[in-house]
Amino acid sequence: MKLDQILSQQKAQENIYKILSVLYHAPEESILESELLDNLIESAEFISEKLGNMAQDIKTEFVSTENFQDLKVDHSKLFVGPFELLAPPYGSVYLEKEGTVMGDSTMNVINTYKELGLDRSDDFKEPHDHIIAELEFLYYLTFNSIKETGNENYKEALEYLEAHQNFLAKHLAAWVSDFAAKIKEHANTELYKKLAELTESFIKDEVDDILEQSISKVQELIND
Amino acid sequence: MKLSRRDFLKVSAATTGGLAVAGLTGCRDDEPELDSLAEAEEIVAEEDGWYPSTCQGCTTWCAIEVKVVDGRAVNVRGNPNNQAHRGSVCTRCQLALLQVYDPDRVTRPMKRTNPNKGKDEDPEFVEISWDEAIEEITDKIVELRERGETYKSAVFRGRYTALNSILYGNFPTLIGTPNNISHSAICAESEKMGPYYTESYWGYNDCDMPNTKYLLLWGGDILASNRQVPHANKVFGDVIDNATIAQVDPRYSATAAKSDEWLPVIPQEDDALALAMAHVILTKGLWYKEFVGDFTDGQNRFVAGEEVDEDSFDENYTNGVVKWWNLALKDATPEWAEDKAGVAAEQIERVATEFAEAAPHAISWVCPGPTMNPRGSYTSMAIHALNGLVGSSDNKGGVLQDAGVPTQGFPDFDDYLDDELREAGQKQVIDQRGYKDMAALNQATSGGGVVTANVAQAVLDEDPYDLELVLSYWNNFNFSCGDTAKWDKALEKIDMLVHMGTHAAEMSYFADIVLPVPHHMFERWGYINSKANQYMYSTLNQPVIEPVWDVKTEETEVVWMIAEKLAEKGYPEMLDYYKTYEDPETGAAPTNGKEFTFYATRIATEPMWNPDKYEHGTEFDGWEDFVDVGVWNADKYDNFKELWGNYGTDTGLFEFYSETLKRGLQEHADRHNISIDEALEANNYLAKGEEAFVPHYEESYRVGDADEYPLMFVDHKSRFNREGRSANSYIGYYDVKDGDPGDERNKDVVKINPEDANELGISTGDQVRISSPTGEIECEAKVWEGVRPGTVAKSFGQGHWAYGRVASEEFGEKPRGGNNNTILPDEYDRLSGSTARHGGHRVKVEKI
Amino acid sequence: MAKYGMVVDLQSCSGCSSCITACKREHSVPADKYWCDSEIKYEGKFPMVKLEYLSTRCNHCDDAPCAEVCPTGAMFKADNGLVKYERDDCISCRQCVNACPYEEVSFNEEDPHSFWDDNTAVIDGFTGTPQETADQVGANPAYAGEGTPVREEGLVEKCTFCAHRVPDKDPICVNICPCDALVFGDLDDPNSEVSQLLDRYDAKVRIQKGETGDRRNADTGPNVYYIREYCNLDKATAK
Repeated sequence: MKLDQILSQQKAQENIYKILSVLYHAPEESILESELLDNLIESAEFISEKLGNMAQDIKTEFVSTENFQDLKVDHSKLFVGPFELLAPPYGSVYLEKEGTVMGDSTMNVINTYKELGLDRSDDFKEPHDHIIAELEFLYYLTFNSIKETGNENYKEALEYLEAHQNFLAKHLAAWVSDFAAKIKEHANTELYKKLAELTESFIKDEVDDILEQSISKVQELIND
Repeated sequence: MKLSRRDFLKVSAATTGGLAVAGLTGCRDDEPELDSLAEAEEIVAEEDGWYPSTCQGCTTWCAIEVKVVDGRAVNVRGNPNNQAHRGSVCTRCQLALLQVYDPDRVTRPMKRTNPNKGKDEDPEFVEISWDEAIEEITDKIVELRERGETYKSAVFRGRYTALNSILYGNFPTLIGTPNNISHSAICAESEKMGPYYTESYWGYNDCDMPNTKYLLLWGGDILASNRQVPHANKVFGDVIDNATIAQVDPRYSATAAKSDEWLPVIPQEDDALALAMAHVILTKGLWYKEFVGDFTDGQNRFVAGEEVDEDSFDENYTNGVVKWWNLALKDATPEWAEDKAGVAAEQIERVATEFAEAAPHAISWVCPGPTMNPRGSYTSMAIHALNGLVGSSDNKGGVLQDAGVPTQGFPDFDDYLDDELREAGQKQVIDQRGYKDMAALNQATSGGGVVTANVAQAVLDEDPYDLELVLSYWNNFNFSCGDTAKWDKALEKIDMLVHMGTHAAEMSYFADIVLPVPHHMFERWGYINSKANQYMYSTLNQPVIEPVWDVKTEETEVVWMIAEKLAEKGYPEMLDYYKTYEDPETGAAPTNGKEFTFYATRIATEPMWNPDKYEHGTEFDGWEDFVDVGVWNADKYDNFKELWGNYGTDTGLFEFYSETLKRGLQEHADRHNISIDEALEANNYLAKGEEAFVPHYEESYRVGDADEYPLMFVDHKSRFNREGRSANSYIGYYDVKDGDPGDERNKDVVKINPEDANELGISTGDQVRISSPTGEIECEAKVWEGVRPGTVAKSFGQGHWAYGRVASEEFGEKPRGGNNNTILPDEYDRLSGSTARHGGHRVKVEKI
Repeated sequence: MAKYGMVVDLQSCSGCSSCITACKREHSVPADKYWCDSEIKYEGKFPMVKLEYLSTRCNHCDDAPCAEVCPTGAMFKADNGLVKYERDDCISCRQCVNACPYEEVSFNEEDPHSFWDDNTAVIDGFTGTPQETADQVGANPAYAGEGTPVREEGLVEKCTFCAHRVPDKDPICVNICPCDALVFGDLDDPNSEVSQLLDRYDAKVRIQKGETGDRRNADTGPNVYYIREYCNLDKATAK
């Protein structure tokens, strides 16, 4: 595969990560005024037809929502509380034996962020292994692997790609299916079911291939 | 967790702009858009351990270390590498931990929406991003520029690091204003008048305590407050063995309790005491001949009441001892002083005698207490001149200057100014310094010094003009200057007040924009120089933890952001200039505020850490070494007597008769076409003729009618004050307040002698009102033997109405305790420009 | 086995109260409780006033009344001279509180750290809250949490002589003292600094709260000694 194709795939992946992370925030009507959902569709279609359709479904659900309050309530019940969360959006809940927050897996997330020079932002009051933060971290890694490749810093690009692979295997990919299952089980709105479907499908079915292809390409360039 | 609408659209825009999925080449100049994550602050503490930084809870400026565990600052100690304090810290350093983790810190920028300003007006703060805040400030700068009124802006400085030479130093000039107003004149400028006009030292002397035989302290409660607290505490147990200690203070202070002699002087009469001591030393022939010289025939002609022929005395390293005698000392007998100062003649005589017998290892230590009063400049001279008489100036066991710190200046900025800015920068400073009645003779220059507190009156009178934009940092002038109500009014008048601090303070209540800043001990880069124990040192401020909140370093990052914004608006000069702050090792130009801060720190300190530029003191291998050690020490200052004859005064001598002061006064008089006598009168001094050039007695000047306000007020500093900033401490302040002699736990008390209390029918625990012509406060009474009858004493620090939940009874509404500055007058020692907070201004105390 | 004790050099002490705050920070002692405390006395009339500031704490007595009255053995005399307590065995009977003649045992009537549970801001939305700050910091922000990190309601507590630091490090009050006025060590070791100081100077101990005197007059056998004078002031005049 040519380099520009590889990079375009990564760019689509970058967009999806970022937009998914936005979509796990509390829903706001302003989303419809933005081009966010169209961008999601375009990026998803670039990766596969199946993914494109899922993205299209999400937009359809958003557009057909009559009362945003329903979405907000559903979002709260699933992810925010104050009562028991129906689909806790934290990795540790799925990865720790005790099912608690701030366990070893969270510490590992914190340290991985730190190694890459990142930390939770002051405005973000959730644990580091929240789905929003993990998606955004993967977005950040993709962003930088594209950037370094473009600057012909292939070794650095490779480091980002490998970090991406490791983080995914240890964290998000390890819990996204359980998380998606809970959403599908408990969500009252179609939107969140579709969002869960897209998230899981993207992470489990697509990203590995993109990473493999990118890594072999960059290794090729390093050896040149 | 809620993403605001604005942030949401920002995200959308970014993902739109960068979409172009197909045909991507990888070259990109955009930045990642992060919401839940942020690029981590670069901090020094990568793993658990002790990391050096600097405590600036008072002006001792200790080199300290912070213990960091899991990214949290958990403990503090003195930096053992510092030769001045040798691992010791006072309790203020612990309180810094309470400050950085104070629950009431400002977490993000805020903007006032209520246009009405006042103590009773809720500012109605709303959210504003850093970018928007900087935009508003810059708009104002540009507006003033376009109107040709750039001088109507000002920077007010409070606590600072040496990087203040950016925000406070060159930034005002670069925006075209002469107005950089430091807090110095509410601190201790009058204290410097003595050392300066006798030995040309504009600073606070170091003292060789370990080798002294007599320690005569004037007001300075050195075990509790400025300027060498840990060092003083560390050595005092031995000083008690090695020296006689005498404390002059109307209040029984922490140090008085550890002294041999206590001289409970009547406030503002310290000059009488000091002059009488000089009288005793001369009449008893106890002056230090090696330094001062002697009568040509060895016969002592200093006899009370008798003039002495100047030609009969051959002086060595001093100037005008006989003139001083004839003009101010010959009648200043201990009996004369007893009447004035309220201390027994025999004690005056004994202290003077023993002090002089210890010569030259005798310290007469001038501090703010006796000098920060309306006529304190000459008191400072009289006290410091005693060191001249006993030859302890620049001598072992005596009073010392310092070795200096090799620092490197920042690049020159003149090329980045135009004539308009240059001219505006030369205008009269807002504080009226140099006015006929405000000589502010810093270093013999008319108007050479700051008159901090007078900005309020100047703003109210719009004389010399009004202020439209003020950037104010780490200060709280409507709490810390006398006549707080006047300051409230003045702050109301400022069109755009930007207050930058860790807490929402009283001053924030009048601000248009409030910007949260890092704590200097834990969250930022910087450095500062200080001295004690004969060691000058320079200590780094380091970011040892990630900032708790969304803060930016005011001295540098905020400046950088303004420069960037100005460049966007068509004024690139400032940014161009700041880009010349290239990293000394890599040569890289700063591209953001953080790099700017870091490079500035490295530039300024380079002569200390770069072996190629080594001058003196500690040798480092390089920057990393400096960062690990945290403090540079000068070589020990023990080249005694080198200043003798080379003092830098106009005569080069230690001036009892100050030619240097004469020149300064003459310059000020000439500027206003008046005589020196008239100039002194305008500045509220009584001296006539030659008397003006020697330390002499001045009648006390106190605000308030003695009949209506029968008691004299003694303001003093608490050993728990991190300046005015620790009153919101959850532990370590109120729960130990009885560590200030006479004070009580969990209370703010005014201490009153039983004699006065009986007369007024006041008992311990009574709620009382203290009133003065300036204002009134309420607190509790404490009947106590440690205050002089006729005076009442109260610690500064409490009485905050807006400094957090612990410091206020009800935040924004009701203070906890009373603020001394609410009753202290807006009054000055006009020769130095200092706020006259001491001197026994008059009050009355009533039970309520 | 060592027998730990402390010597307070009153001449060096400046009454700065650093020890109290350091102790509170080390052991998370609430604002209104004191494991390390002071007894402050003024004597005389103006101007001849004498101050004595005694830095006080549990005396880790030889015959500790607190341990003697403890019905469960939760409070006990350890082999190294320390009077220790096992929180798990404490039944909150408070007999030790009443038995201590120095009033150095305290009882937490309330949750000691409720201050940090508050989630109100003084300026809503723009200043922090105690709870938010605690979350941000990841622990009780005012405290080092190195000694006894979490204080509990309904327990008796007192100075441990920083058993968690000893013998590698001095107790925190000794460590922080800027005056080098507090000396800690093994009273049974004739070469220790504490022993040497006690050889060199006459010492007094606390007999009970508010009273000091010769150790022979103290029934409890206290192990915190006071040497030299706090206040040497002997000349002061006023007219």
